Amino acid sequence: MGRKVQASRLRMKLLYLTCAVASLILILTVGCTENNGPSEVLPVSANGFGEAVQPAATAPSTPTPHEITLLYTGDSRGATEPVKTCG
Amino acid sequence: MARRASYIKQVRQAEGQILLLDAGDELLDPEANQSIDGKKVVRVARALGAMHYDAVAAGEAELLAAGLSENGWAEAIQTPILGANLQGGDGLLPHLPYISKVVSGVRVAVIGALSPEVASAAAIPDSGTQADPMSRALAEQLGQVRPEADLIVLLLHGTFEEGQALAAELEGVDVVIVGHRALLPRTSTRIGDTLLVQVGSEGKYVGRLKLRVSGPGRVAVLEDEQVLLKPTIPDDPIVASLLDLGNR
Repeated sequence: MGRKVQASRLRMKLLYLTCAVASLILILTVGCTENNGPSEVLPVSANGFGEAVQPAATAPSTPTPHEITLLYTGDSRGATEPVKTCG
Repeated sequence: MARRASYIKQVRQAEGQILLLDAGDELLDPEANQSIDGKKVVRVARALGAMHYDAVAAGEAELLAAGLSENGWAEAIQTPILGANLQGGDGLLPHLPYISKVVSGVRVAVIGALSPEVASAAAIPDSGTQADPMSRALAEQLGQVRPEADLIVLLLHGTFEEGQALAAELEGVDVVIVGHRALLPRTSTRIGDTLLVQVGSEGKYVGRLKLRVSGPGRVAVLEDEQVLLKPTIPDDPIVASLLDLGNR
């Protein structure tokens, strides 16, 4: 009789423990989902077509704009003398 | 040319580092019906060297002068001669397909090309150099330079119409500088994202662009003008001396 009671208590303890672990997993899973939402949200492009764009943190950094002066010539045909101009 | 040197010095003093390019036919007049004056070619090459050009495209003039390479003009010019579609002739006309360098914080690539039609129309003796069709050669070079450049310039020795066709066909070229037979400056033209410019002939003008570059292909034109080299601009004494202008 005593052995039957002990075995029954042990089964109850195991059942409680299993339920506790399952509840903990459920709480953690639901809680995380509800509190934090999806783990990753891709921003939508400015054109509004839902096209995912690269997050700013991983996009190539935009270089600082630089100004450059370009002078160019061509087809001078060996002209060395001071040119005649109307100006 | 001495006046041009003076203007370039003024711009360098005002702006600091600049990009200085030439679209070819600098050394002599390819249409002159007279024998080539080898000494004058060397004087012009020295003058260009003194102005510190970043690159010069090969034109008919440079191909014609290739036969005179023993007189040392190619060394005197002190500037890379570009021709992405030129084959052979390395011994007579040393050339590169492109150059890349950093100017004012901008990674720049300059590619050169010579129109085969323009080259074949000129009575050029055998220089051992051949101009192949441009678009394929340029597309190959563009593939190489794109990853390493924010600003890509094509120095085209050909017609303005050829420049327009190339600008429409090739992707990634920001500026096309055309140099062939334009007695008056051409109005700048845009083909898609590409700006086409052409300076007037015979050394009367210098083209000037001021660009803002924010990354590869992100180029805004701030200023675009053709500067007439008026007599009010004095001759640069060093270049005048190299050209031997005082003895004329």
